[in-house]
Amino acid sequence: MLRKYVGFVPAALLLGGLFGFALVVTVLYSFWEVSDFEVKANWTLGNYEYLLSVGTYARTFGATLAMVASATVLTVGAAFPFAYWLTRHVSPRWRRPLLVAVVLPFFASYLLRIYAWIAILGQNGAINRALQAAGITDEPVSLFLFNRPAVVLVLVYLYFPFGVLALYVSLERFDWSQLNAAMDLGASPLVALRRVLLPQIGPGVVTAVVFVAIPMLGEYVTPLLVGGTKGVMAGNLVATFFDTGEYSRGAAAALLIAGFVTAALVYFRRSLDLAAAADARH
Amino acid sequence: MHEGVTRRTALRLGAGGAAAAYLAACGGGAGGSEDNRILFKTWEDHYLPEQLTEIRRQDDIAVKVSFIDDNLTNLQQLKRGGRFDVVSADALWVPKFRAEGLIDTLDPDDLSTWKNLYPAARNVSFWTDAGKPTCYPHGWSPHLLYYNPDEVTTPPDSWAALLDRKYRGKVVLPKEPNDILAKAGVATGAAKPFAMTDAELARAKAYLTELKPNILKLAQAGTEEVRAFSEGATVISTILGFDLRMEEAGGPKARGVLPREGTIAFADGEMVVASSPKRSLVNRFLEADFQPEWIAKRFLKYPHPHFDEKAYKLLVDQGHGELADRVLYNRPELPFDPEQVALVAPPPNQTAYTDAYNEVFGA
Amino acid sequence: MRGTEPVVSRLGRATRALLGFYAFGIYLFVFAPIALLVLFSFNANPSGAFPVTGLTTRWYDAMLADYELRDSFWTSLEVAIQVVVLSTFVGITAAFPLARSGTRFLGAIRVWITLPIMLPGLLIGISLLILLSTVLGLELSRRTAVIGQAIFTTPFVIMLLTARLEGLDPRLEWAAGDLGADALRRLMHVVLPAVAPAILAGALLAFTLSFDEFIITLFLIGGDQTLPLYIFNHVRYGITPAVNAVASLFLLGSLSVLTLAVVTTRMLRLPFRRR
Repeated sequence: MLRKYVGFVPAALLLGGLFGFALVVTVLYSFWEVSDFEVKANWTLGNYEYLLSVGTYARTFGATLAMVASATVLTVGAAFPFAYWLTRHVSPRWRRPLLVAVVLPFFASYLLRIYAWIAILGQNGAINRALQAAGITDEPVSLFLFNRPAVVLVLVYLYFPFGVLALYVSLERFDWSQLNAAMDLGASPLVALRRVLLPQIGPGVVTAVVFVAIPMLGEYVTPLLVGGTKGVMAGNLVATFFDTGEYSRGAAAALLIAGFVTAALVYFRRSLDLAAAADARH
Repeated sequence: MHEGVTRRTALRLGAGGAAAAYLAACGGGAGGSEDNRILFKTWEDHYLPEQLTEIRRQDDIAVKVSFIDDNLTNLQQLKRGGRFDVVSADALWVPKFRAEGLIDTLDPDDLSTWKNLYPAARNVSFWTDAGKPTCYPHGWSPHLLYYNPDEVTTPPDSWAALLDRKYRGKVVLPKEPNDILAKAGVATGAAKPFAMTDAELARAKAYLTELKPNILKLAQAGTEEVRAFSEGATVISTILGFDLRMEEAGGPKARGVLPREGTIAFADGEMVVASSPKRSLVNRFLEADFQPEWIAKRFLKYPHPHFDEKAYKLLVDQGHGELADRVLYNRPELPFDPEQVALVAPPPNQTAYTDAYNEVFGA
Repeated sequence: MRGTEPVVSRLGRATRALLGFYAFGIYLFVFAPIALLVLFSFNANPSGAFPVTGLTTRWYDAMLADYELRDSFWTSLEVAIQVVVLSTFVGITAAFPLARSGTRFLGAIRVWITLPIMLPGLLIGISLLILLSTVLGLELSRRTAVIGQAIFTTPFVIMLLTARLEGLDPRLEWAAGDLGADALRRLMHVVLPAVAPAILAGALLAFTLSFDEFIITLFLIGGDQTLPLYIFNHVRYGITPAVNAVASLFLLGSLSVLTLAVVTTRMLRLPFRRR
């Protein structure tokens, strides 16, 4: 009877035992104290109080949400017309190859894809040089690097493939002739879009948002390399606490992020099934 | 059925191939045996890639370098069980490593190059434990303010001058939280920048909060510092020799100024990790690493003073004497004089320093 | 009728052209940084950025002569293979009950399984570091890195295999059963061959993820170094465009693995389910 579940054992050990236990320890750490770089088992809410009370940290968490929100909107917003083009104006024979082509850069190293932008965004970078060559500016504009827009831009670049894939799967399944049918039945184009298209691709858009926004929340390397002092995200906060020996505070900050992520995951859990199906088809 | 045979065969081949690849990777992965490897955690100016290749060829020691973020993180990583053989640290951090039982003392008798050091470096009180040295002195430098003379008309001659609005988004500092606080302490008149009282810390924090909008970025390492001027900065606080490094990199010019209020300085050395099982290999590595020829070459790439006297003489012979004197190479006693500079040290109230830093920079 | 329809209206044609331009722009956006990386790997300018002062293969030579790079590559390979073996094993064993047992806790298990993917890699790295190093007192090494990476890659494999298993037509197994095959024979001769392409795809996916994995490895590998860590160090501390040369080769390598994946899955494609 229980033999059915025997397959779960290795996964339970790895993902449940090791990973689960690691998370539990982290949770415990967040409620304990650090004195002289050693963690002592004194129960306290002080770590959370500290994080939520200092203005800088609150601003960092807020800035993280803002940056993730903008990056998500931009990513999904940029991916949608592209996915639409792919499913509507490209013959079926070319769809897969063109899709693979746009996802291809994803297979260059994650770090290098971030690093590449430094050469483009900096004062001596491609954008500034192009602007100066075109005569639009005389001097280099320092708007583009080591600030929040730089982080948002690079995040969009990094997560664009996820957005495209999720939207493509959803749009490809949609039967466009339904729109014609709706309009034949007397609906205006707008109503047709709203009541026929939107409900069917809605879940796809939600999946795209989930697969783009949630990983962004924990981003650490991107703000580290291109954020400067203005584009700091919650992940950097965790890393710094940890590096400077403030384990409890680091654990608490990490759990604040994790709590947010888990809540979002539970709320959007049905989107995850969709993604699994999409993966299989891919 | 034909298809089935193909599939099964393919699966078997695949499994066999994977196993073979695995074994091959395991065998070739460690680069042969483990016992000629030295794991060296240090800053980038402590080695040259061609030097490591040479050491590997000549002495058969494979050196694997990891980089230090800052002294505190370094200590944490070693305490957490990071496996290294040789680790570098600054000034008064060395006794802290020793106090935590993380490092062993050196035996000068085993190191043929020890006698090449300046006498002032060989007898540093806080680098000695029970008569034996706790680290092999490497180099030192004060932190200056370097500015781009093409962009900056009035040179910033003090820490306070950096607060000016014209430097908005143009200042770069090295990313060492304690150092940053200490510089702020110097700027606000703290008696001991690395051991500030709560009141002094509060003033330093206020200085940094005011400075923050002017900061473009915190540079993690030398490369990021050299790139800084090309990325829009016009002032950077860093160690001696930056102007020469900028010249070599073909970037914008840089000119150095000693801030009016004073400054901090580092003096670093290599330490032997206590748990390292390769003591004799480590000694051989140190001897190879501190050959005067290599120190001279390292100096020419990172022109800040080193503690090796024989290398100085070599540099003079090679015609670089003037350069060496300009960067105060032959004044090894300077960093140890508290009247001159505040030497890097672990703050007794480290948590307060970390909190202050985190609360200003958000991360 | 799905797919493209002849677009005859002027507005339709204009929209199509506009979207075409947009798509071209997207491709530009996506490829330009990579193209620049490769360009700079041939750039004689040692700062690795504009201006391009000349073309040279000097950085490729320097890169190939760097034994640290070779060590990192072999370490990455060794770790990746162990991660693949571990993830695939755990993935296969877990996919079966997940797809077939019909337990009530399926939803919760699904969420738990996607947790390692969705939670920040930073958190995974840190919590495992605390557990393995501080609590269990283990030494940080390639082995601890393998464990950390496997926790991240296994969910992908599980999801892939579960979806494939769920999509498997049960009638084939029933037919085999009717013809006298017991559970083991059904498994060996019907199910596993059908799932084989997905297993292969999962293995390749795990390999690719592991090879490029950075943040978990950063915390757990101790004194060793994988290729992404080597790249990270040289992006921050290195000054030559040798890093760009590494990037080009990395891209080439990934492309080769991808092509291999596509070719082999196509070879092993089975007509169990017609799309």
